[in-house]
Amino acid sequence: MSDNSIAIETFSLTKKYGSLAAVNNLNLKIKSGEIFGFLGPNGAGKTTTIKLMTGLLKPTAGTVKITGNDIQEDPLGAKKNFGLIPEEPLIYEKLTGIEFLRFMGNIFTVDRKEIEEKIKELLKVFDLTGRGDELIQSYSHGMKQKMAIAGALIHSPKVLFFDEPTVGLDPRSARVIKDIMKFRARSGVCIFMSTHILEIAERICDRVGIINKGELIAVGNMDELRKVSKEKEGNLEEIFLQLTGEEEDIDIIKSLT
Amino acid sequence: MLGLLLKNRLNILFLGYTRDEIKKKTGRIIGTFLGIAIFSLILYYSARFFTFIYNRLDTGLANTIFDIALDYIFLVVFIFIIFTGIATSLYILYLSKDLELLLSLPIKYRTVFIYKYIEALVTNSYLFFIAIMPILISFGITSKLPMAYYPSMIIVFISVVSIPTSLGVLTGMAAVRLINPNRAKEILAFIGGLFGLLIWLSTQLIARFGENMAPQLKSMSIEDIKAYITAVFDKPFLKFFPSTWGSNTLFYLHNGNYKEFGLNFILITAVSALLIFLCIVISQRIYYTGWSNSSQVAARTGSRRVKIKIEVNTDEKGKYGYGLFSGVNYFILKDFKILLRDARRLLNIFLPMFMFTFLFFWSFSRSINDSGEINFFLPLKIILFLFLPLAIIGLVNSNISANNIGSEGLQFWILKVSPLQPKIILRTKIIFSSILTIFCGIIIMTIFYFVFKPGLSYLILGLILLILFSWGESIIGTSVGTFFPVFKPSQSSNKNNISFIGGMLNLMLFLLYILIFAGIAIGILYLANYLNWSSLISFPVIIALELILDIILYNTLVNLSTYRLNALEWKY
Ligand SMILES: Nc1ncnc2c1ncn2[C@@H]1O[C@H](COP(=O)(O)OP(=O)(O)OP(=O)(O)O)[C@@H](O)[C@H]1O
Ligand SMILES: [Mg+2]
Repeated sequence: MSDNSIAIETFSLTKKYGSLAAVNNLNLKIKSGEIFGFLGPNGAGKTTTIKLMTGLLKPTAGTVKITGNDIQEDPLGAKKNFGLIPEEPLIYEKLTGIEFLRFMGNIFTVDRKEIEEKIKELLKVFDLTGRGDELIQSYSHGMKQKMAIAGALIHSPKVLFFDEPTVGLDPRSARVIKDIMKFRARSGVCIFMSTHILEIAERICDRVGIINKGELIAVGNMDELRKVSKEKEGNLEEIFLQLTGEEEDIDIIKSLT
Repeated sequence: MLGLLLKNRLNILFLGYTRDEIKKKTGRIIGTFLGIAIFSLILYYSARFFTFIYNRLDTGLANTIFDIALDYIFLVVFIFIIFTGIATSLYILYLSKDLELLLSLPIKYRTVFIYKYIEALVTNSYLFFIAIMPILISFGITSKLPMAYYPSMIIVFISVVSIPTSLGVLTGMAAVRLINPNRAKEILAFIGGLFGLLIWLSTQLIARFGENMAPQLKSMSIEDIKAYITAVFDKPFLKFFPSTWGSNTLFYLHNGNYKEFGLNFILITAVSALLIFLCIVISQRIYYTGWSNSSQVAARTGSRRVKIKIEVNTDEKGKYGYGLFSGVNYFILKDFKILLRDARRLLNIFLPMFMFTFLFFWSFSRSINDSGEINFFLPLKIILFLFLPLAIIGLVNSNISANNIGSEGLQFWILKVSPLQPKIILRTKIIFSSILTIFCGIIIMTIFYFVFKPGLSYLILGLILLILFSWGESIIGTSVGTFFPVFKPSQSSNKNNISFIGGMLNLMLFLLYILIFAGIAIGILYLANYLNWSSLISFPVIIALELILDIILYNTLVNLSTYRLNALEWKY
């Protein structure tokens, strides 16, 4: 696979809950080695998109391809190549940290020696070295979050899905994660992350997509977004508000500040 | 403020009927109608029953029967709430989701506590309310009791259910001081279970004891029958149960003995009020601190205590601790670890096994030896030896295998994103529940072997049948569980991971399967007897046929549930 190959591709991806289209006709192409930021107001459909891409939900219409494998047609081919960190760190509370990482390594059929090496490395990176033998139920929220991230990294996936990666993490850990993302991206990993923290998106994302009420309303790098929003000088926050808000909302927000 | 909280709670309840997902909504509405139907049915039939007894029986005898029946009904409620109430109270007081919010609002902690206490009281008793209120009401109506009966009936009912609830709350509060509430809940459920078992055993003992104590029923004169009933059932220990004070209150009111009525009424309400008061006073000191400790830091202490290792130690495998269970099979190891650390699920699985095994020996202990003489085409004891263990472990298994998928809980997404074929996931789940079931089965079969002494060849046949049966039963349970899973957060108070319909279906398929399974084996044994085959022929034939049955099950059900597992969405 060459460096410029497409890592994630969606074709008119749609998910409806009753009459509500949580995601509507989404077409995206994201390359390997790219960090893609997915932004949108609450309830815009970010989490739904990630669940569709990772096969947790079945699309009402449309398809998703991960590293060229259709997630519905060839799920195993696709699943081997990605790691997911969901919105909430819902991992097995009754396993210890190390057991959980071993579990993840084993189901992704990582070599046993490599698993143990990775575990040591990941625990160290996330500052959890002394805690690996405790049950996850005794971890704090942030520790669980870090454990979930470590679990997704253990098989060195080619595509990483992060749903709000830095929520609830201390500054050091947030920094570690940003570094990991940059580092992995440089070695060709595609990173798809949803976030509300625009500063992170602006600083580390190569491209940004903005979704509102299930519709992708803009996509591109900062310059391209500025063009779409007609905010010549603005930063991402202004572009975001401009694109997702109604006129009156912006007035209200301005009057508040 | 308390009123506001309760109103809000009612509002939520009401919204459950109008605004929730269609599926849950209909479930709730059906449940309510069912509740009303049961209430009316009990009301109708108990009224008929009471009228019948009063018309046909001597008043003195009828009264004796009522007195004792009321005592026992209240006793059952009392014991049952102790049995379940500690865990419920603990859950509601310490683990429910709204606590964090409630305690952060400008509401007095005492108010929050009382609100939570009421919630625990209602949760503990609403089922009994449906079952027992109609009996008490029809008792009042048929006996034409004064209007004062009805309010005192309600007060007595609330007092009787509040006492075990208070005890549960107190125990819970004390326990949380020592250990974190998650763990406490499991341990206390366990203790509650043992306690219930103990009470059950002691009532059995008392009943046995009573048999010998009872005077011979010489004639059928009313006095004799009364004396007999009193001797058998009216045990002195009853007087020490607060529940009996409650039932006596109603009984004496019915008899017009107002002095005893007043005495018992004061006794029961005073004890109930005292305990509630005690709860509130103590909660002032420890509820909030207990809660904040437990929710933020205490979780750490609980975890280190339980470290159960099932690792297989062989050279380098021992080092990493997964030996046999590497790769895909690590799933099995994971399930074992999680199960062994969950005292509550363990209890759910193994308590029925012990209960049934014990129940069996208790009720048949006298007749087992006699049964050796009963012969169909085979001695009865061989048939019992072969199939009773299967029936028992079948019940154990349906508790494990039907929960196989649902018990993944909200962690189900991990399974969904893993690059494993759904069929392989199902297979590991089936292996997991088979191993567990076979393990239990071997224990039970060993016990039965020494009781029935069926001979070595039947032991071997029994063990092979046990393996085949566990496998087939696991296939059925896991498949039904895949079609009707209920995913719950790990802190949920209710650990049922299969929907009601799924549970019923599983039970029905289980009965069908054991019928066919036993039918095949017994049929061949019968045929062998008829045709004079040696067991060298008949046993392999049985085994082959059962194997074919299982293979058919495996191929149909597992394929079906593979589709289902593929299609299951994770929506949380
Ligand atoms: N299981 C469900 N049933 C019905 N509607 C749902 C379900 N899950 C999500 N939705 C709806 O889909 C829409 C998109 O939700 P989604 O969780 O994708 O938003 P989001 O962009 O991740 O928001 P947030 O920033 O708050 O995480 C919302 O309107 C939500 O109400
Ligand atoms: Mg979201």
